[in-house]
Amino acid sequence: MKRNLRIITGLLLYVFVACHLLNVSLGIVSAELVEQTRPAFMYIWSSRLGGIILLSALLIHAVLGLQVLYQRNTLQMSASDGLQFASGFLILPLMIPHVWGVIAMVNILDTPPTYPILMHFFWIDSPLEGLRQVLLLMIVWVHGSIGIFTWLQLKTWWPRIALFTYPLIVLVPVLALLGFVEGGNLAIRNFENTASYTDQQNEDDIPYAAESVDGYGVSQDAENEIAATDTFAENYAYVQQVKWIMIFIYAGILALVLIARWWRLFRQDGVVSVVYDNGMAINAVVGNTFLELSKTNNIPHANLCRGRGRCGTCRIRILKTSAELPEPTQLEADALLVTKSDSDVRLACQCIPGAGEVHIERLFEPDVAFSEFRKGQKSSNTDPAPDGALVLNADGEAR
Amino acid sequence: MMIQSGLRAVFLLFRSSIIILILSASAALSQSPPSPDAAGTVTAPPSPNDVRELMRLLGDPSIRNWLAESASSQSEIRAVNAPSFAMRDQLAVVTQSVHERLGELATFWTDIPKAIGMLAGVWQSQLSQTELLRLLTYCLIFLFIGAALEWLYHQYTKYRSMQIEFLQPSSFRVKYQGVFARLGIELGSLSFFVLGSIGAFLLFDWPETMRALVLDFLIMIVAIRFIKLISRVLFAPRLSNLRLVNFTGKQAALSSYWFVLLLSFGVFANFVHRLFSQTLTVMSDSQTAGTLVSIDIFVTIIWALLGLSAIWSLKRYFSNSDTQRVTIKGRLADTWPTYLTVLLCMVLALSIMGASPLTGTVLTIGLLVPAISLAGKWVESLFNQAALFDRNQQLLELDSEQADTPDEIETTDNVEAVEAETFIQPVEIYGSIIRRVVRFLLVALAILLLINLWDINLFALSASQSLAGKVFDVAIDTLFALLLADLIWHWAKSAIDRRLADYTPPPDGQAPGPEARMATLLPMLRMILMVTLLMVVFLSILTSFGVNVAPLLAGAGVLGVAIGFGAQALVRDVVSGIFFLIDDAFRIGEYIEIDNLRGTVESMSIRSLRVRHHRGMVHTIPFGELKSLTNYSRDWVIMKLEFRVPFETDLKLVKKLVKKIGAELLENEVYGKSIIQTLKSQGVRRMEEFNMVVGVKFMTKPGEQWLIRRDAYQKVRDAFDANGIGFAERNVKVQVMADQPIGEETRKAVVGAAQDAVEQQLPPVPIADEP
Repeated sequence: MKRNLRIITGLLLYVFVACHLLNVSLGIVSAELVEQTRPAFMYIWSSRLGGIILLSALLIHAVLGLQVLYQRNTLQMSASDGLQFASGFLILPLMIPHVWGVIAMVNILDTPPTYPILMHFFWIDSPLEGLRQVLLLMIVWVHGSIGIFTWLQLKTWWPRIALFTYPLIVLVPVLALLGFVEGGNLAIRNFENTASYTDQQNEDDIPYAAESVDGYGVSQDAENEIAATDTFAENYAYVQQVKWIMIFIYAGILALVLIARWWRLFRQDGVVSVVYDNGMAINAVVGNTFLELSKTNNIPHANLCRGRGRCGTCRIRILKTSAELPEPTQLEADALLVTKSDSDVRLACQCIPGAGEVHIERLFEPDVAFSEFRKGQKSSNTDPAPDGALVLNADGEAR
Repeated sequence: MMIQSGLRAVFLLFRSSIIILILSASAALSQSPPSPDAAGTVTAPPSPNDVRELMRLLGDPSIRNWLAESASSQSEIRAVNAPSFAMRDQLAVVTQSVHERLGELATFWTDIPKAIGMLAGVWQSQLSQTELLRLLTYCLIFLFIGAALEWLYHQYTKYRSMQIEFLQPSSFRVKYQGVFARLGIELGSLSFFVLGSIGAFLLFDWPETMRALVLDFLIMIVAIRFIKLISRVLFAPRLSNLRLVNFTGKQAALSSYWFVLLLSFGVFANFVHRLFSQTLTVMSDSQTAGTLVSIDIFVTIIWALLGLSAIWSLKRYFSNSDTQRVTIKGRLADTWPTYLTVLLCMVLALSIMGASPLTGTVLTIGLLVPAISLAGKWVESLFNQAALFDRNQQLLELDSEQADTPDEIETTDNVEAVEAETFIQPVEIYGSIIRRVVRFLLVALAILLLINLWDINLFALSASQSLAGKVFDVAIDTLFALLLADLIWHWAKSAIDRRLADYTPPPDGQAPGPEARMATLLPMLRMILMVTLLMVVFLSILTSFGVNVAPLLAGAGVLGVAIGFGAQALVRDVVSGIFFLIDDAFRIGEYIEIDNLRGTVESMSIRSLRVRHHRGMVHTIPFGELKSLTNYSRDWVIMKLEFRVPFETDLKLVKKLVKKIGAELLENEVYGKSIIQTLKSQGVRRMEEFNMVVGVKFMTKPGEQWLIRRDAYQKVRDAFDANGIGFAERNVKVQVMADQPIGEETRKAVVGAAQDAVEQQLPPVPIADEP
């Protein structure tokens, strides 16, 4: 359920980001084109319902991420996992200014966020925001892509279309960035032209400079709105305040989660020692799964789905144990059932041993390759594939 | 062939990396500050194309003259550029510039606090906060695009590169195919990065300042990545299977770390230098120059400190074992950290003093010796690797053979023989040649670098009449002649020696193989080559000293013609001898016949052939006298034997007996293997007056036929005897046409008459003269 939710919300957000980026990438052609095509790209999302769905997806995804952080026993992981994990927590702080800014522009500041205005803001008024925007784009895209690839990797049809998908994955952010740069260059050129023009006209009266406000509402014709400026400035300050409050709240939540996690790990004591089939033995503090123990101690252990309980390649046979092993969770039980495992077989990625000594045997070679694994699966009717290995989908059903 | 091609490629790689190393090192160190009025010296290290263009221009005499004129008319310091080769002048210039530099340094130390503030000021005046942030954004974007394209490339190549990385090379060729495939993949990856970052950057129009800064930054990143790539291919810290150098994992990791760090810092320093020289060009007072000097000195000091820590941290992993330290050479090799430290300190001091050509010179010469020794060791280790692979392969093959033949002793003997041969040979023979080539190229490179550093126009220098110019000229010429001659001689000698070493003279009584000819020709060739080389080197050295060798050559020519007339016969002997050898008409150890002279070829000189008769006489025959020649020792010999048997002999029985004897002969352990076609009956060859002639024949290797014939005769006789076949004897039948018994008288008369017929003999046949 949780995994399904994570994938669904993630996909939703990813598709939204992709649409948004494709829209921006038209900036390579012209700024007008971006404006004109925006309704087409953003139609679904710009309705009230779409907005709510999107925001709730974002919130759910973030909460799920925090939950994973809380539940992870070790922060050591593979490079791509680590990248995805760390980038996940950077997204919200980077995204809040943008999302909140757009919402605020429409609802509070009453300035529709058009592409030229935003470009002017990102490249001239507040280049720091531009930098943030670029960072946000990169991080969001990397995070999303890793997540989607990890999910897709275990699908049977994935290898067939993978080679055609990679260029698309790369093309979207690259084009968007190029569009962003082109838009910025255009904005800078326009700005410099007008600046030199006004320089010649009257040097002492540059209206917009005074108003290089950090909200999205820099309007060129601010001169006419001197009366409105006061309320605008007030609103703007309010918007800024809210933005920072949101960021701090997120930071606070993150800190709380970390503290809670630390406390959870701190409470766990007792030492588990795991003895492997080849005689290797490790000792560790209780609280990690078998797979995490293997990985933190550099002991090769097959895990095609990287510890998500989907593939069953990390299964181990418990030979002898003096430690208490928890009952399989629903997820683990399903996986064990589908793979027709014996009663003494457990999923290393789900089972957290208590204090004591456990003797285990890894059922798969650490370097079991995905293709072999599939082959084994296909020929499973004649040769009961390596211990009946099967790929489970998100619900733990056999495919 | 495979080894050669592999080596050539490796060698190219090595050389280029050395060039990069030296160039970047010298680039980082020789960034002399621009003295305000030396417009000729470029502050930022220029691109290679610019340098080439500059060198071309400098090579142009008219440009040189113009430079010299304009320089001498302006200031003293400009005299550096003028082609003044007198020792005293140059010394004066150097001391002058050092003096000025000291002055600069003094102001530099007092100016440091101000300099930093000023730099910040200049920086801000050049780039506003906004622009800086924009710059960062641009850099980030283009790096990301580069990384994205590279990732894409990686998706399509990762399986191949994984295959390569897990490769367990079974042979030298496989290993180097892996290495170069990896290099290709990584280069492709880097070029995708370049395409993404720099390519995307170039798509847009940029304001000039932005363009230069962003481009410099991207180029720096690409250069650092290239350095990393080279280090990954060269040291391969994680993949011992694909490592080019003979290091352990730890050594490789550490070396690669320092290699990347030092070179990257050089690149970074270059970038910083460009950055500041670009921003500082706006203000051209002496203070900015001072600031640039301070930056350069600062960077150089950091670089030197890095270098020192590299040396001493590498020392732990690269010191010799105690056993090696016993020899003087081992102990000397162990002093390298100290040596390099001293060198680095000297270079640092010199570069602070601002004597940039001197810095480069000390660095180049100082690095030459270790570089040569390192390169030598490297080549050796490469050959050892190759030999090891070969040996493993052969051992494997032997193992599989061993499975077939249970004969243990023989195989172990083979193993030892294989080990001895393959282990020593390539290292001893090719290795030393390659080492020499590497040494030669390194020395040539060093000389070129030095010439470049001192900006010496070789032609102008050798044209100048100063003593220094002359000595320099002669030294360069001599050095090159000697190095080249040494290289050629060593190559030829080792090639010839290798061929000779392969040749083992056949044991007594056996026919020698075709390689015997080589054994005759090669020593001759070696001698000729040595004399020629010596002559050429001698003459070229003489030429470089200014001696006119034309009369010498002419004299030799005249003498040659005179001798040639006198020694026409001799020349004919020599020339025809060479052609006989090329024709492969005879070899040492073969039995030949020339006119009436027969015997075994015992030796050949340049003029004549020495043949020993089987009864011991020695014939000496000049090659010129040879018209035709019969060789008895080639490939095979047919021997025919005849037996006379009475008419009533059972020919089928004879055939059967001969066949049996043939089989027996084949089984003989002494000569059985030399028989090509064993003894067989040819049936009745002809009928004679009193008997039939039965022919038999067999084919053997040359030289074996006599022994076999002896046994064949003996066995045939025994077999005939045992089967009641008598050899025909000469008898005369007398038919007496009478019906009553003849008397004693008559019988005697008949016998007497028959006696005549019996004794009518053929004239005695001369006994064939056979060894």
